[in-house]
Amino acid sequence: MIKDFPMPSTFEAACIVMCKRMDQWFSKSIKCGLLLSFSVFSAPALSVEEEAFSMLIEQTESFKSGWKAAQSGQLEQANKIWSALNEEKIIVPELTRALQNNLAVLLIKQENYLQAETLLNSALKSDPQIATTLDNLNQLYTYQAQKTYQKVFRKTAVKLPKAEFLFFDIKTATLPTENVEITPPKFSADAPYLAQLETQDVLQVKGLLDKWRLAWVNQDINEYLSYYHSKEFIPKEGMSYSAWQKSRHGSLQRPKFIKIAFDEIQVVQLDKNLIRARFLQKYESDRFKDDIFKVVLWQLNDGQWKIVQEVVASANS
Amino acid sequence: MQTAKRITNSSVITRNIKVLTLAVAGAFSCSSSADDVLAVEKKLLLGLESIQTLSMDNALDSFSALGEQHPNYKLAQLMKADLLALKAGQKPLLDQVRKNYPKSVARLKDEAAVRWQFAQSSASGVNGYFDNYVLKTAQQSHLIFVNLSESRLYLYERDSEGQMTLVTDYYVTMGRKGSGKQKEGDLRTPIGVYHIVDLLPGAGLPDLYGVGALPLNYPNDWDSEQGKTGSGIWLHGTPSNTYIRAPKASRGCVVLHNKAMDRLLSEYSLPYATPVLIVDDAEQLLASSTVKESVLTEVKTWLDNHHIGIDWTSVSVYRYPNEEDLLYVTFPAAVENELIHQYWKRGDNGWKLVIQSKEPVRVEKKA
Repeated sequence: MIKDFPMPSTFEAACIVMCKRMDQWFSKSIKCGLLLSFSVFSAPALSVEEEAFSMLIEQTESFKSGWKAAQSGQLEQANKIWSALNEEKIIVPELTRALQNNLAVLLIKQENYLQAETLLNSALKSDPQIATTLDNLNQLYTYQAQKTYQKVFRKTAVKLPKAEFLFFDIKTATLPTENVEITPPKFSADAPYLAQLETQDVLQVKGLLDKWRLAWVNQDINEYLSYYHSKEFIPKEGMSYSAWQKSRHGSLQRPKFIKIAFDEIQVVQLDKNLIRARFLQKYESDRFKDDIFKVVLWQLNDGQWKIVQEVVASANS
Repeated sequence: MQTAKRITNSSVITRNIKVLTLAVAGAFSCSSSADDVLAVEKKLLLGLESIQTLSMDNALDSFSALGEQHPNYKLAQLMKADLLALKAGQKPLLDQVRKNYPKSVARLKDEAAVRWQFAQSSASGVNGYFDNYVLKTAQQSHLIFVNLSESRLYLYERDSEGQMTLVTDYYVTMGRKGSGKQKEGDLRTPIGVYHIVDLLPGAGLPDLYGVGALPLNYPNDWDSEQGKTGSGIWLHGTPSNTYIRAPKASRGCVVLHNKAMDRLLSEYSLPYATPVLIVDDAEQLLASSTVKESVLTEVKTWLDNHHIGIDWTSVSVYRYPNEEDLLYVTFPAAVENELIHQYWKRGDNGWKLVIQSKEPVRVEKKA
């Protein structure tokens, strides 16, 4: 027999390649330089308030300097910048994912495959949507593997893929950043309630929108907060409602004055209990000034419309 | 495969050969897809190669296509399943199968290894070693050369210029315990020079033998002289529910894929007495052509003196595998359709005849 054949020449060797060096499989794309890039313009808008927005811009700059270092081969420098950034509070999931991916790439380049694997896994799992989809796909692969093993070894147990549904709720959705036209729902016989309630609800929300603006301008924090739904409102990424509430106290009360004007207001009823208001918000205080498009979702609870989401659609340039 | 049925060895075959030959010709359809066997092997190797280069998705495609084409091909299915399990991140599933069926997995692994190694050595042009053994061939149309170290059968055919040329080669299975048969039931495949002494169509055989069988004259006179025992060493096909058997799985027979066997049986119409050399060698011998020429001269001189008027072109001379300085010489007997075979050993004064066949090998051409 031909002995000492150059490895990996056999099935066994093939298995070793497959099993022990799976990380290479992962890293293959990385060797081609598949670092994830990130720029603030590719990130969809979230509940980013003016201060958070400037923080995001700062983080983006910091990300870019890490990117430059990585591209020019200064991996340690890149690692330093990105690790530090990863410690900060990140409000945009795209940035979090780019950071986790890239830190894993750096680990792979250092042949620290085990840690890289952990990091990549957690990066995937940190997005529940991707994690669920990936899991469903893997269940299919597992099922196919078992079915195929069964062709070789008849007694192999085969479990049917369970698969998991993904829930979708507009409140948790990342809304389009650009000036997307939303066509008002067409009212038909199927939705007579919309036809009946539209005018009344939309008018009511338009009124509330202005009252909310006034509370803000008047720096009346309690009045201002009363327009938000304390249980359903989703504050900025990762922030608890109480922490957000506290930060609003500062935002409303610190400035010496606040001027706000709403323009180009569009109010659309999405369903019986949900109304979307989109408008140009012109904000000015002694500390800060900007014009942004904003989307605010109002939800009907116990006969009262409350804000459940507040999103910056785009900075108006 | 050793069988309960006893096959006559180098004695004259007494049954009605012509009737049998007709039956064989009718039993096998001319196979046009024989090279499907080689195409499948090629695809398997392609899959293994993809794994080497870590192109896992390509590998999965290769094995999936093979598995679909040949659901019985367990090696392809195992590779496909392994890749899917890994893709799903389910390495434990792969481990579990190996833990539950270590022997079956090992056998499939052996097949992959043998095929891979053969592909490597044949790509570098170092394989077979036909020239180590075949010093001179008579005018027979075919010769089968089996190298057990490669799990490979080579079919040689005489071309228009009278040269023995390789026409095809196939993966084969040998005895469970390997090569070098000594005695009845030792589950080994013999090493030596044999002849096809019968043609058995699959229709009359148990399913185990597949599309048919070519029995050999093991034990030959040399084997008997060495005290070797056993019987029923055949070349044969594969059971209907099996794509191919592991490299070491038979009870001593040489087993081929059914389509390969079919090709030997019907397409090439191998005549009776076709030589079958079975060797177990992985190295080229360093015999120079001058040594070969002087050996042949000695044999020719002796034959000229003892068998007046013998036609040298009808003489075959083989170096006998796994024996030191042993030659196997065949030439036609005075009686039509019979082959005299002799064993020559080198002594102090050159080559000497040591065994003259007691019973000649029967030669019968197809009708």
